Amino acid sequence: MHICTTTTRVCAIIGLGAIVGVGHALIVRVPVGFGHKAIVAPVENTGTAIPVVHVPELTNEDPGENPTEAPAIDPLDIPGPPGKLTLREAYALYDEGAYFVDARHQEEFDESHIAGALFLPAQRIRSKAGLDELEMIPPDITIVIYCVGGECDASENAKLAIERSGFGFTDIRIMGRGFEDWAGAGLPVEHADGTITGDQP
Amino acid sequence: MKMNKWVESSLLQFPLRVGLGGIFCLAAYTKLGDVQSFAEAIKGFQVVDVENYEHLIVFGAFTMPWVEMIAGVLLILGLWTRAGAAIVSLMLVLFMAALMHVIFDDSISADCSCFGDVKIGGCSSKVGWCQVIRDLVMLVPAVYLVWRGGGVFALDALLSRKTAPLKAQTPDAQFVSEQVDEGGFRG
Repeated sequence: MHICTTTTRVCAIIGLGAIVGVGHALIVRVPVGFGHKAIVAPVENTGTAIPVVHVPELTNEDPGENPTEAPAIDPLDIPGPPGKLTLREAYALYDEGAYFVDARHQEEFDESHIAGALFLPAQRIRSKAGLDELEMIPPDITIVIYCVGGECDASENAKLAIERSGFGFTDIRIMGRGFEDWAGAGLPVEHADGTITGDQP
Repeated sequence: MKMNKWVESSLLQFPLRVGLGGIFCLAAYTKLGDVQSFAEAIKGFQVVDVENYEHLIVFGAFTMPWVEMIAGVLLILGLWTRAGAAIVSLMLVLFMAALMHVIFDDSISADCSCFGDVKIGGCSSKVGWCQVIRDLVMLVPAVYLVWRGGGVFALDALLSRKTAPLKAQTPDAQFVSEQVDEGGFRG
């Protein structure tokens, strides 16, 4: 009897939560989602100094996985997930003055990050502080987002958040390889004590 | 013996109820302030396939904080205490399972987003054993409240006194009717 009442009440609370949750979802101004179907056309470079970096279309098909003869590939050219920049492409943009956005955890960023990168994971982008920081970036500049690489999808989240921020950024790219790969390749890294190590490849 | 129930209520049930309820309300409040982040956190846990079940993640992102909020408020009020505590226990077990899933799979790096931006219990935002232990610590009072109910200061006790003052059908009611017999609850 007692257990029965409790179970009924548990179901009632979950049901009420679901109803209120659905109601909440219907009234939010910005729909929650991951923008899989959102097509954001990669805007062509306007002939400025940015080198031509071929950014493939985002497709589900995986172009041949990693080739088996991997040792022959320069670490800078190891392809990441399809549609994302290799280290070499990312560094070319870095060299041209693209803004780098770090989408990792605060502790990881504090420890070390790509020299000059901004700490702007998705959650922060949606905050007042993040929006203020984003506002300072010229909207026509290239933004390169990175996280720990591999399965990390923080970059995707940050990209979506920047797109939704309404500042009209036209060229947002994701570095397919992670920060560790960048640091491992000897590219510029800023440490907690402010020192910068690494140089161009 | 009867005094012990008062002591238990004031020293254990009341503070645990309000504390646990408060924590859950805070957790819900921070998540509801940024549902998109919470949805991304659920996606980051990689328990649900985002390609095919995006709607499920979005549904969970809206529903879970509200269930937390309702359970938290009920716990604070001491209304339906056992049910509220049972929900909290279930959610904690669920959270721990999800955390373990991330911890044991090295390829996943996820944000806990347990309390949104707020850090509680000295855990970092990155998923680790800290959060599992924190959930375990919260699970103890939750299970205790399922077992013992809300105590004397809960609305449950007040309501059961009104509806069944003399028939001792539930432990709360039995206790209350004993108090009523004594005149302890009259006022």
